[in-house]
Amino acid sequence: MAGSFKKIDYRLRPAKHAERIMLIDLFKRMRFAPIETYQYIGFGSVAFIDFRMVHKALGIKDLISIEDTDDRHEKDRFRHNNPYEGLLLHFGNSNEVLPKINLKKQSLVWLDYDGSLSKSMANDLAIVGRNVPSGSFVAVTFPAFIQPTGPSRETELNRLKEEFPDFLKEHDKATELDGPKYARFGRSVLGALLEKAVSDADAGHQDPEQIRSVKQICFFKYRDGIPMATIGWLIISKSDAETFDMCNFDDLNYVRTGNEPFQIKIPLITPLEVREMERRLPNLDTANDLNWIPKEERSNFLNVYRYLPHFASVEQI
Amino acid sequence: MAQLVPTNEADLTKVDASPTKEFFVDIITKDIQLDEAIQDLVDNCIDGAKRLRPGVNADYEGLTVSLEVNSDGFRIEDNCGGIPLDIARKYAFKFGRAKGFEPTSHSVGQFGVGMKRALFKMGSQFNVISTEPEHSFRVFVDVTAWVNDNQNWDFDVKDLKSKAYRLEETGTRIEVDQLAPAVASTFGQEWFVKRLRHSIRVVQQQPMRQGLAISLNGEAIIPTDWQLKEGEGIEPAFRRFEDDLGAANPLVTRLYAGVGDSNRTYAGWYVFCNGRCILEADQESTTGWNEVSENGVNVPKFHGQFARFRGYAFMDSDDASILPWNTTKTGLDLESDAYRRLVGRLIEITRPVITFLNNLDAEKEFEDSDKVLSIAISKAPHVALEKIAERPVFNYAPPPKRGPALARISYQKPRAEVEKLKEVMDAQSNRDLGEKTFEYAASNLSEES
Repeated sequence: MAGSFKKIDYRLRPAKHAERIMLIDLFKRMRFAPIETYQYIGFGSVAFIDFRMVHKALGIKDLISIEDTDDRHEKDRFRHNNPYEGLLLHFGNSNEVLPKINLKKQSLVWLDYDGSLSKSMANDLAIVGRNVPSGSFVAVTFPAFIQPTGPSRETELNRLKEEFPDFLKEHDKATELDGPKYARFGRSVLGALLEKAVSDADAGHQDPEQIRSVKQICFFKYRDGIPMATIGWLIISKSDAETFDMCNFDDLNYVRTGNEPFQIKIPLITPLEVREMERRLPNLDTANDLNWIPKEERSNFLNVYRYLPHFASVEQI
Repeated sequence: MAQLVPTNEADLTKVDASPTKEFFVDIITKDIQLDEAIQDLVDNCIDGAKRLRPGVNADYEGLTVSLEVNSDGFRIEDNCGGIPLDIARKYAFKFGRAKGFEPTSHSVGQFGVGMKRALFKMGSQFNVISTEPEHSFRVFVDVTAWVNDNQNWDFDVKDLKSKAYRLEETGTRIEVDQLAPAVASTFGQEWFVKRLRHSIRVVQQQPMRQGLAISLNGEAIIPTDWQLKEGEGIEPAFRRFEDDLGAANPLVTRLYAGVGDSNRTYAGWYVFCNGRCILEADQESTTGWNEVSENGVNVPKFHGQFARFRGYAFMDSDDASILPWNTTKTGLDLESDAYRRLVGRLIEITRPVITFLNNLDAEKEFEDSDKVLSIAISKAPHVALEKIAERPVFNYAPPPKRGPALARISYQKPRAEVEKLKEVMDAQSNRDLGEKTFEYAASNLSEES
């Protein structure tokens, strides 16, 4: 959230776009309360794309964006880019801003970091987890990789050992975090610490039906320049367990409750190939006259076609 | 008359699991320090005051506790109502809380072990002398004789008189004359008396502020005020929580966090249960001081720069059993529901103060006139906790900045070269030279973008 808007052109991020639509699709299935009565909390950056989508697709009016800057000019730029009068901007580190926000309202919270996995993220998640009512959703996104070589590899390993001593042993090697292992490590650490925060906050609750627990609902991996991971959890009380079942989240092909991520892979295909494949829907996987399109691209297309962005050059960029 | 022996020694289907008195005496005196044991006795006086004048903010004016601690013996005397004969006979001397005991509301005694533990720790003979509205009596114990009697667990009530006493005549006096040799030697040393005085001042601050007068060896103990700096843009945090943990009334938690004078000894969290200080100036993971992170955005391990941190957590309940204290009242019960709810809140409220103190620390390098936080903190007055308004997070609201955002550059160079360049650039001071060299570099090297 700090400064990445200066480095990445937010319009050119197809996997991110797909991820946003997938999350919105998931929010549409939530039955705990009318979705338009929720508040949405995120790191909007200058473009506020997720905020526009959440408002337009779900009708949520209660919008709060956190920006980690105290630079007057940057603040000014954020204010000018704010798309809605009703969208509140909070400037400061999320660790400090989150305790100021009223989290007693059902919330959709997306902590979309651009910094490395850290204890600080776990603390943000803990603040959200402790305070939000049942039926709330919280997700965290972070770059999920360790350099395969070079001095930063050891530095990163040692930092993680120091920040998460219960999860890495003193003599663990950096190979424990290579490739897909990094995102899994993040998922397990953040999930466990969120679970602890929620359970501690409800310790000794007199009505067992109101004791909340954490259910992982998504685990995405994709490339956004670099490998990224997003993990999302629902926080629900026992009394909402039935409602949870009624949401039928499992019907969404990208819902992941365990250690295996859903890979958002954008197929590299031509517009004609898109049309050909769309015509075969929903039986694309059995269509055998499209073998001239590489199998991997067909399979990627089938996984994400509902969430792909449409590109057209309609304005000067 | 409890008889803790196997019910039938001839019964081959039973094994003996009954305790010995030595075990009791050893185990309960092992994990407590002498000053803590004495605090337990003071706690009993305070519970007397609470029974006499109920209410969370009752006025204890006129109630006194006086302690005498020296190598010849130990005395503690109060005028807080005395131990009623019935309570003494059924509960006060029993090991552990018996069923049927009606606990004092907002009690600081909880486990039914404090007095026995303290007395066993100190010596081999003691007297507990009580004057209550209807009786006066003395409980005398010769510990050695009592331990050697493996049948009978009773203590003897002596000098029992039934008579109506006026309230101001009531009270409890405890005397230990036969001090254990090591205890006598400790009690005779000045450092111990000083430490005890400090410890009572901190631990019993709340009841003393309600008017209870505590004196040690004839000298009154003056309570210190809990204060935080407020003003000059510095706004301490104050949050209040109510948790239903199954008692008749919710557990009320009040948290204050902010800054005070720079002093490592007094910095940290203070945690109180029913007014009793359980943790003093805690700088350990118990109160959240372990959340390390390279970029410094968590609650880090305690460093020198946090010597100005002060946090006060007050937890109050009419039912003392839901409070998160351990039996020696020197630490928190980390498994308790109340603690599990507390620790996250401590981390949350500590965090903004840490950022402020990190920024304050970073000012060390600045020119004096730029040390805005240092100036603010030195000017801000101390304010008593009860005058602090509810505010979810600690805040520092600096005066609005003018002009573009500035960055600071600081570096060191050999003095001779600096002097030479100063002349070349006609600079009046090192600072002036720094600015002139920067401007020179900027005008020659920057390209317009």
